[in-house]
Amino acid sequence: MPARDAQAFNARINRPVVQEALAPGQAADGSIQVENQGDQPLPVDIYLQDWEYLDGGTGEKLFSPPGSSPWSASPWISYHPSRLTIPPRGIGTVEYTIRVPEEARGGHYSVLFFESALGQLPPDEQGVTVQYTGRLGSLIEIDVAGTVQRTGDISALSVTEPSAGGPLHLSYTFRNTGNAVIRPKAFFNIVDAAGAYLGRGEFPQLYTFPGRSGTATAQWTGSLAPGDLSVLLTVDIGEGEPLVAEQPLRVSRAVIIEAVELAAGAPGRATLTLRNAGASGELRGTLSLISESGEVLGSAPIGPAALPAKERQNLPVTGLPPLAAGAAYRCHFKLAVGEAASEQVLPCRTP
Amino acid sequence: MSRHGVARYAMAVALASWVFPAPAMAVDIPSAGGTVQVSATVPANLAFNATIFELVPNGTGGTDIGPQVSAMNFGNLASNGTFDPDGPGPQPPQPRALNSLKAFQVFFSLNAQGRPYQIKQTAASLRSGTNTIPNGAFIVTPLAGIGGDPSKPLPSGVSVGTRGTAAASNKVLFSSTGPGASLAATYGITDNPAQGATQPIPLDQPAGTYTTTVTFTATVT
Repeated sequence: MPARDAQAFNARINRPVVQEALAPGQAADGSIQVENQGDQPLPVDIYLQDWEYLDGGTGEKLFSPPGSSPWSASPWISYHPSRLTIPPRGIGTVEYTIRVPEEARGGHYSVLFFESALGQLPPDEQGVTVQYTGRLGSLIEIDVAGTVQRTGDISALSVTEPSAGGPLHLSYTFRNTGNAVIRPKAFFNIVDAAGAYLGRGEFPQLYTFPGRSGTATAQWTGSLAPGDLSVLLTVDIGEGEPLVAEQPLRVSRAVIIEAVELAAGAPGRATLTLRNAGASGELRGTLSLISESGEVLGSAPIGPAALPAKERQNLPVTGLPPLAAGAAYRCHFKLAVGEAASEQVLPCRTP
Repeated sequence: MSRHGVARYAMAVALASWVFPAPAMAVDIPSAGGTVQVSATVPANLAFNATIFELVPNGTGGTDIGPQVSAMNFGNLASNGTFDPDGPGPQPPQPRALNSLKAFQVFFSLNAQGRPYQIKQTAASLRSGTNTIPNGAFIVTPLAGIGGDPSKPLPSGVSVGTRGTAAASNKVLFSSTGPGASLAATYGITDNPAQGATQPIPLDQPAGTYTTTVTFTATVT
């Protein structure tokens, strides 16, 4: 088919989501407009399917035949027409009516699709042809008024201690224990023992169906002073009081080791680039060299030196055991600033 | 498959102008009083464009964006070239499995007015009567980059689905936490694992007309 005749799916709907709160036995009607944004007539088939969020909370949806889902609203919905041909740059309108049964409870869901089959070429006598259709979905969400329970719990919250120079990793899992869709939005605050706020962040939104869970992860980059801190999680589930959880966070690393440069020779020497994560006091410690086979070759003192909080400094270390050129070691640090002490083992090598 | 970014980017910009027109606004200016109230409404639309182009060889081993088409007509499959199953070993080179000499690129534009959205595709196996082309040879590759151009990073919040068989239900091609973008995916029939193939089409695949339909779906999340 020549390019000038080629068709594309190019359409717009004015209601990507239809949300209604209707009492049992109540009905509501409305309309959805479909606009053909192309330059050729657009034939559109209109039909219902069920949809549901899959487990995991990412928002990925499963579409299924109407009436197949336990949360289906499809049997409650009638619409007209089921086929439209919309002129170029024109608009078509679909009228719908929702009738909620007397016995209905909770949230119910359906999607009204507007689908256009394009490019119905006669296939080659022998060969492979892939036709295509495009469709837009209008998600229909019905709360049966007076029966909806939006409840859930935080089934997991984890916080990993930040590694040297790396971010804080957080995750939480929300379980929907209600009978309707919940799209939780969550925030976290990092506080110290005195309740002072040290940091704040947001989790990506979760999307959950009843009985299903979702997990969100987040990172926080910043500097935390050593000590016993807490992460406070607040989850807004759209109705009622937000859910709150707390997770202790111990930041034990007083000093962040940013670089280690070994120098070959006898005795061996090293230059350390250290950053004080926020503790106050004098820096002191030891550096032990360990061979690849695990043998401790010797140690040398670090400091004492002044390393103010949040500052960075290059510190020489002398008196290490003899170091060969081009050799690999493990550097075992024991460092303390004031009363905040930490240990760390890093790979290191001579040039 | 290399591509000419300029052509692709120009196509992406053109598609974006189709699907991101200036929003309709309602302005209400009451006449009484010393102050003027101004209100504007951005309607909650969902606009979606899917346009297919053939990829044509550019003579340097890569491909350019070719003509717009209404269907992916892969034509007759052929065994193009040979492969040597044991390298320098004693076995002679053997004909490659069947491939298509054509490939196609689908450009998507979507505007959900800032709401999170997903673009999915669903397709059944390529069939001719009771015969089926192995699903692992019919491959879709969602492309990173605006309009599929890897040198133009997608907006933060747009996630790209994984390459794999196109004969799949509800396969997520792209998802977004809100930003609209011009997106693209390629479709091919190949035996090349580097292009995502997990199954070859045997040389004795029964002759026939193999067809299927790919449905591209756009909804808000």
